[in-house]
Amino acid sequence: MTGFYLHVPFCHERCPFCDYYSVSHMPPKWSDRYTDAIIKQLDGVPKEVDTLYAGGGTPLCLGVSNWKRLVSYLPKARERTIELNPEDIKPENMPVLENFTRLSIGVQSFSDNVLSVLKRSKVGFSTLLDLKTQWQISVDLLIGVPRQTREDVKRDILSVVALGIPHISVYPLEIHEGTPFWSVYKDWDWDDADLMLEIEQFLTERGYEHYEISNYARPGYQCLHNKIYWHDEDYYALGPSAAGYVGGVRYKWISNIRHYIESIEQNKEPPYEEYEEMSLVDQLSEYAIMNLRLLQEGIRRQDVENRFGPSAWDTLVKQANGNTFLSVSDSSIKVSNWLFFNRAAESFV
Amino acid sequence: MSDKSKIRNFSIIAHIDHGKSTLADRFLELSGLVRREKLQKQMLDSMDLERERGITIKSHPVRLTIGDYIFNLIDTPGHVDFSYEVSRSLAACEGAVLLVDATQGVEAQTVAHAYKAMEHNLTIVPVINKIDLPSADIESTKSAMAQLLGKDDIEPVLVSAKDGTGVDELIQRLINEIPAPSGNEDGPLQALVFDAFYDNYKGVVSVVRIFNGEIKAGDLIKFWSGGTVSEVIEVGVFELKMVPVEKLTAGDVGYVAANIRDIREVPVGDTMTLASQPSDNPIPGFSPMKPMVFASMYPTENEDFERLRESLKKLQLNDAALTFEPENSQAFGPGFRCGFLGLLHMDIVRERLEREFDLDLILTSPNVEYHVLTRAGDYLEIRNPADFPDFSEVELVEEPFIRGTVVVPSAYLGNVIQLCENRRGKMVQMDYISQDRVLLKYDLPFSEIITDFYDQLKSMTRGYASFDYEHIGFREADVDKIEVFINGRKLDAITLLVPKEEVMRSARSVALNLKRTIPKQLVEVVIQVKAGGKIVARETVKPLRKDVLAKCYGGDVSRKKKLLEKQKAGKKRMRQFNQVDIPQEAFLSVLKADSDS
Repeated sequence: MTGFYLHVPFCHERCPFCDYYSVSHMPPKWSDRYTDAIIKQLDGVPKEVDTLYAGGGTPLCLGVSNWKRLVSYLPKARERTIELNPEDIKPENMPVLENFTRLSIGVQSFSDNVLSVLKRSKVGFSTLLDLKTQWQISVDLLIGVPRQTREDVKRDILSVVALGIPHISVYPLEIHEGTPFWSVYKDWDWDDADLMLEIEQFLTERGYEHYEISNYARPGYQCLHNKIYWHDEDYYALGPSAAGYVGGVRYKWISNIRHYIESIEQNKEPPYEEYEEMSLVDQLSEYAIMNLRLLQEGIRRQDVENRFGPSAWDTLVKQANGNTFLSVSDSSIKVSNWLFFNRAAESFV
Repeated sequence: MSDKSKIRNFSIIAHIDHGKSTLADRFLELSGLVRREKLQKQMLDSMDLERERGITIKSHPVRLTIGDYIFNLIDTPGHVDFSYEVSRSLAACEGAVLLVDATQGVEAQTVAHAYKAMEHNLTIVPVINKIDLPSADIESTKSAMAQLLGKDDIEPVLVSAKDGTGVDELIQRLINEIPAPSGNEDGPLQALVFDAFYDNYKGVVSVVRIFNGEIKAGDLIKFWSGGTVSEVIEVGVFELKMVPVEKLTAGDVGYVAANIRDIREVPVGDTMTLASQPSDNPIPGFSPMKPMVFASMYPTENEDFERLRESLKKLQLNDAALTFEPENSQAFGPGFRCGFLGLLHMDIVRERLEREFDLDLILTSPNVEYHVLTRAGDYLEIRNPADFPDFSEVELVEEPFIRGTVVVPSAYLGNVIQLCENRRGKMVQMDYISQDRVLLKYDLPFSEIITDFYDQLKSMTRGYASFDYEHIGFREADVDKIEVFINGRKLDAITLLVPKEEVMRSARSVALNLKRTIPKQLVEVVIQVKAGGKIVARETVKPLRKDVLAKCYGGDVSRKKKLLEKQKAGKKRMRQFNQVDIPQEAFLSVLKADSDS
């Protein structure tokens, strides 16, 4: 499969915990120029892919009229996901959303005290129920937020299940250097592993598959686009800071909107922030680490041999040898305790 | 081979950063050995590490021909760890340039080295450097130098080593003031060996100053202290490279290669003489260099032990001050107890082993040597605190002391005195060397210096204090042993000897520092510190409950992989003990006596 990722680097307000590249309070002209630039750059992207994902930033910050201009240039794809923030869910945005099959909503929490720490607004239950009628819905939930109680978390999980949302991503809050949270919560050391296991148990008992470290889905609702990443397959990417992986080359566009747009306006490619032609050894290493994130599938022997040849499997088995966080069978290598994924992955680094 | 009256043998003595290497570079240009544009900064510092750290570690002589004269410039190291080598260099000279930075004035090393030069009865040519800088204070620098040299008035040469001002005048002063070497070409050979190094082709090369007689290839030589007779293969002088010459005669500085393969067979400080016609007596040498600081070294993987041994051997070829002997730690298995001149020396050895020999090492906290007299009447030299006998058997303990020289602006005098007193120091001298600068001399236990003394001194004087020391022998000590237990098992690689009155405080800070530096593990880590037979401090490191990168999508792959790589690399600098990974920092943290909470 092949994917396409579009990074929209605009936000109404920067969230204090987020370290993805985006800018806020730009003059509206910037979103117009950005749209023009992307339309121009889309020439170099296949017309048809399997999955398309618009993330950010806040994709809807681009504005309805720009989206209307943009959609006809985007590659065709059977799964089309767009990320949404609570404040994006309003009638005038509906025509944009109609171009997508799947909405990934940054709910984070339903608890007011947690949302106030995160400086985020709330999504109503009824809103989610409405959206569910037309789209595949995924929600993001944060755990390990300062002042968040275990009860807050359990209520959030219960709510999502009760609403029948088929896909849930659960992330412990990460405190990144350079964010406003860093200065306040630098030493925040949340390690409630028990809660993470309780969430897993609760969701799997209710028919969700824990298919990736941080992702749960009902059968048939796994995110195909993200699975391209974890299967280490090819994906194109556009937008400042967006990263792609095509034909063994990893690249990342410069994380600077002005630089990015101006290059394209001058009919040049924007500069890469990173560009690496991966050696086969590195490709195998990343392949192993990424596939290992898929808790049920793991690293599959058949796939390894198809892609890297028969000796590659032996290489991986040898590297896995002695690592108690891995379970190796004749047909796959999986993590034995997902809470220690890093220890498991170490064998392949 | 040379006309003795046209030879001048001299060193430059200076505080670190006062411009010694830059001045040496000007001499090199004047001699035509290098042209300015070709000059690599600090030409004489040949090891990469020396250039990186901006200090001279090994002394290198260089022979400069300027006009009719031959100048043998015998460089001296700039760090106190290697001050022993300063004496060696000075022993080969008739004179010394005392170089002081006009913007800094007389500093601790200036004082220490000037005294050494006076002890060697050298003619001292005072030089004030950096006179081109606006902050140069020539008058007060001059009066401080006069005071240091015990004279009412001096006439220093004013130079700017950077732009070359005054260097010609300095050359003239060296010619006029430094005596030509005395000695007799026809007498029996007396050559002072003041350095030695290993050369892949020539074997051990002795760096010598010929005091009497002559030496040439084919001569059979021996050392005064004994040893076998060897045949001289080549003699020569140092320009920037080694240049063979027919013979070296009285007054010359040069090298002798005599097909010796082991550097320990060339006793630096000894006198080389002819086997057939030995001299009546040796040149007064200097006491052999002794390691003063000891630490254990373990490979992070046991299988690297032999490779570590081989690597240490290779380093020792060129570093006679480095000692090592195998030891077996209950905790870590085989390793080496190594002896170093000081902390910098230790640091350099570790860095070279890691860089040049690609070894991952754990180095324990350094300690000094203790002399112990037991009740049974045995005398022990303890270089590893873990070997310290039970205190009930101890009659007397001695530890090494140093005499420290501190030069500090008077505004910070109080801080320095307080620091020295806290470190069990005894003041022996306090003098104003200028209106606002004070020279302090303190006798201090060396063990107090190898902790963070220098860092503390620098931080409480905003970097204005300078420090130098010399070893003054052993004095009685009142110490107690601190031992560390990790999950109930003794970690013998962390054993400390501390002054008795400090035991409780040290034990607590050791426990706390270990808690801070040992990362969370899969199991709970209980740290116990034992002193006087009792557990006196305890900390726990809670177990690691998860170690997982939660988010990893297409945009994160490279970044997340780097994180995993970093995590894995971090493990390389840890050593497993009792199922607990102990990082290198943990070993060094125990020396930070004062914990801030």
